[in-house]
Amino acid sequence: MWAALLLVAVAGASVPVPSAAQERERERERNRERNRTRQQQSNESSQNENEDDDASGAAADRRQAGNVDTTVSVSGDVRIVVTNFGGTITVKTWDKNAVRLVARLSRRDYVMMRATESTVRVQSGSRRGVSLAQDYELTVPANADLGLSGTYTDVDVEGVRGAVRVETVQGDVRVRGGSGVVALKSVQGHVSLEDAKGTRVELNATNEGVRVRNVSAERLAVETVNGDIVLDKVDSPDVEGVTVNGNIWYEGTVRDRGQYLFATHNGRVDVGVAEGTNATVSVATYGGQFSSAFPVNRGDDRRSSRRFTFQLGNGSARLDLESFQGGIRLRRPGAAAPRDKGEKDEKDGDDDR
Amino acid sequence: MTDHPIAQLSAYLDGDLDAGARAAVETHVTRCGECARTLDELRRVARQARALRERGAEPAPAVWDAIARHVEQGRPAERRAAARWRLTLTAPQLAAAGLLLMMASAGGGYLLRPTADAPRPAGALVAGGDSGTGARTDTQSRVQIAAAESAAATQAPDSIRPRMPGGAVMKQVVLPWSQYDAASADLERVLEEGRGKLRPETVRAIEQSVASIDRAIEQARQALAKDPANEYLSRHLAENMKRKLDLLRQAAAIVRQS
Repeated sequence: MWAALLLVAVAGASVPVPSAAQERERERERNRERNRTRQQQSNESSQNENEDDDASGAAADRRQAGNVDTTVSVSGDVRIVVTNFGGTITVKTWDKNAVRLVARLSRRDYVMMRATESTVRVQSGSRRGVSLAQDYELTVPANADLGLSGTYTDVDVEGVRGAVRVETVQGDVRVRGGSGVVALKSVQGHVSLEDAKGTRVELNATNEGVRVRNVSAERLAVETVNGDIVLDKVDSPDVEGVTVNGNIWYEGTVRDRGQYLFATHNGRVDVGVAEGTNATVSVATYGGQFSSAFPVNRGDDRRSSRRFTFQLGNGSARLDLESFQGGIRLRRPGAAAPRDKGEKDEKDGDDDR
Repeated sequence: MTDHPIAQLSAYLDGDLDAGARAAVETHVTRCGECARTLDELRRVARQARALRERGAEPAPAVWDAIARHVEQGRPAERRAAARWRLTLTAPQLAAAGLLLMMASAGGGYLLRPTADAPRPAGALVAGGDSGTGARTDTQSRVQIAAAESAAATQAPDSIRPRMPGGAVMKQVVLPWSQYDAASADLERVLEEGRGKLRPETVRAIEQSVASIDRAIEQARQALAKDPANEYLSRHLAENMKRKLDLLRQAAAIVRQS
């Protein structure tokens, strides 16, 4: 450092040094030049984006900030992939072959949108550090397939008729509609699905409940750890509902040759089946009790009062009901579904028991 | 031939059956080629496992990655199938778990599981729990973790894949307590090391869920100690252990992505 100071001192003695005012003026000029270059680049970029608007079918990359409202033309069965670190993703449908994205972004954040006729990808980003919460509202063709993911993101989908995949770490997932494969997952958030007609429906929550209403599927699998499972107006030959610490409530069809498994560790299993149901019912509990609105004829099954099998009708379907320390009830249909999210029913079991 | 005594074969090998049951199994095995072959396979696996343990071989650390992959691949449909088809494995077979896990390190582990078209033999069940003392040792515990087979597993030679009547094939991971604990600890360590990358409420949610599963495991284990023959408890315990590994693996993936 001392050598550097000495050098400056020597140079200062022999070479004219610009004054501070002159140096500041030069710096300002350099900044003005940089800004002019940026502005020019920005204008060119904006012009390209406008051209992309008219060029449906061609890939269009858009990196936009501020308040975004953009629409791109697509085919009716477009696939839409959205990744949002935090905030919300809201999806609605319309009868146009186009995807509209409305987003409100902070100054440091931006959204990347890449669109072809068959795929639209939307991804959040940040110029500095982690992206802040961003709210996306998409309007899409009803037949669109959706792939939505986030970390701290709530997801709300209304009225789609395509496949839906949603995955978030912390946030509620609510979907109304969907067909084909419907897979919804949240670690810390409530998951709900209504009015879906899927081939395979898989719903996973970890620390909250899952609610299903008016859903038909070739297979419906629902799982959580801490939370209730409510399956209302379900029509499927293959249903599985499993939780560790929560109640399970089912009201739906039990089809001949179907498979139905409802299992919890600490909670109540409450299943409504219609008169005339044909099912082999397998009951297993350790500390709970079983009750049935139907006659229970255990035949020659003398294993235990808490583990046994009996038959309804011709026993065609298989219905497995398990609760380690909660009650198991087989009732007639028509009961009102338990209350919605956040309203925990009392459990038969006790965590600390 | 119907009513194969699948659930009793391992107890038979262990000498745990009373005279009547033992005689019934022996009579059946002399008449049923499929059960005889299954018994032979179980004997052979147990023998190999003993030899392995005598050599001091231990499963490689990579085993746990393999288990995690198996767990991840265990989709609900497969889980259900797995839950319903299990064979009791006792002390000798538990020893075999080490061997099976060695196989897992190469891509897959095995346990009895029917092929898609196989008829369901009555009475197939998961292994039992502690032998009543509450102590957890490899030779006393009889725990299996149901998991889906990997593609590599299906490529394993048939000679090491025990079959059961009806064409069922061993295709799942068998995991003794100590190894389950190690796998669990490994994944928990990943979560602990990465907790700074996650929001506190997310960490809390995962920890709450793990705690719930741990309670379920402990309660099932205690219940099983009182009622070792309870197949429901055996299955319930195994499923919760698998569920915990599943959750921890999911949490580890979240940490890695954060």
